[in-house]
Amino acid sequence: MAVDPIHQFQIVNLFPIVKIGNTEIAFTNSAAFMLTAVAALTVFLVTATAGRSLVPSRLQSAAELSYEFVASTVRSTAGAEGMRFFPFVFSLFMFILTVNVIGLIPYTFTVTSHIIVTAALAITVFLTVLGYGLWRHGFHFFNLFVPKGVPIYILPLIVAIEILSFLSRPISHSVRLFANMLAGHITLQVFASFIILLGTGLGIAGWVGGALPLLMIIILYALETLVAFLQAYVFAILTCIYLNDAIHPGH
Amino acid sequence: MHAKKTCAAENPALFALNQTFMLQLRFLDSKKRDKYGPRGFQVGWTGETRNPRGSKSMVDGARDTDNRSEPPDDAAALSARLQRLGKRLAQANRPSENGFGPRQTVDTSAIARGFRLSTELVGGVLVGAAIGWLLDRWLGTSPWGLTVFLLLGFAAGVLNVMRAAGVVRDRQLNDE
Repeated sequence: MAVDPIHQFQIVNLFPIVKIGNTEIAFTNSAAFMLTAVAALTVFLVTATAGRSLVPSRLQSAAELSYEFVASTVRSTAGAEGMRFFPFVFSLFMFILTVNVIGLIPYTFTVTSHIIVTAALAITVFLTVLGYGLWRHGFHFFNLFVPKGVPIYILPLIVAIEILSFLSRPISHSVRLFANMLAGHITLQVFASFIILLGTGLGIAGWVGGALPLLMIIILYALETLVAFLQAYVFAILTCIYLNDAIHPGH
Repeated sequence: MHAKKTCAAENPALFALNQTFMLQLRFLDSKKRDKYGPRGFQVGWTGETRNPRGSKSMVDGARDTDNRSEPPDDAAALSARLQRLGKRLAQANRPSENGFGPRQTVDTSAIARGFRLSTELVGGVLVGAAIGWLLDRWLGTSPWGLTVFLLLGFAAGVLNVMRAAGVVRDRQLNDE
């Protein structure tokens, strides 16, 4: 009778798109929600900036606020030169934020609760850092792994550790977002199932007692709203920190 | 009112008259005169500005005693406000000056901070283990690759954690 808390993360094939060899690529509910998020975001930003009034409307000031927020994050973390990556960071931040917030609506699907999605985003960032760093600085980029002022006899060890530290970035980068969303949504569902269990098990007394988990859900929901925003922000700021390494890889 | 004032400044008699007039009509002013004009310039409109010549008429003296308690209050409020602003500016500027500013702003809540640190450690260990295992498979150096790279991965994880926590200064900020 218990409600399966994992059920909400199930991928459902809506309709097939192409078939490559034996692998059928289908349009899933995950893809549908990503498209919804992108569409909602596009509509929001385009309509908000269409007016371009000097005294902004509410919608326009919301768009300006998000621009200012991301821009100040990029500037403070990656410097003025990091602003060339502003479109990238802004897209990442807004996409993750929108997807997280849509996931908070009951009966929707949370795209970022699948590690394949967050890993794809994190690997994109990782490859961007690697590619831009190599293109911009050539072999100089590898100075990133050679800290200054280290005695020569432990340098090989330090370089190995630095390289491993660099390679582990996409893991922590993606796992953080994914695990936060997953854990939060499972917790919500578990507390919600308590209400149903109490109600069906104990009758009237159970439904009354169900007020306690309901209160908990309300509190958790507020926390999840914070987490949805915070994780998008953390993802964006870590992207900026990593991009900063590509722009200024030490000397 | 502004035109009247400049006119009064040129003619002492008119000035005195003006002062009397102002005194008589003070009930028209609201008690909190500071409400008018830009914020932060609340000290501006006191007896001194209305009395540029420093003339000591009886009327003026009476008003001065009446007003005496107010200007210090306003000045104190302004200086307190300035002090607070200075403190806030210092706080806003500090992170960029010391070594680990941006990293600290990431960790806005305790849960996020704890989560960040744990994933950093696990990430390091996982990457080390994966590389060691793959090397063992390719090169047939069975226990050694995994052993060495697991240890290195652990070290990398600890380094990540220390960087994330701001214990170690950031690389890129070191050489600036």
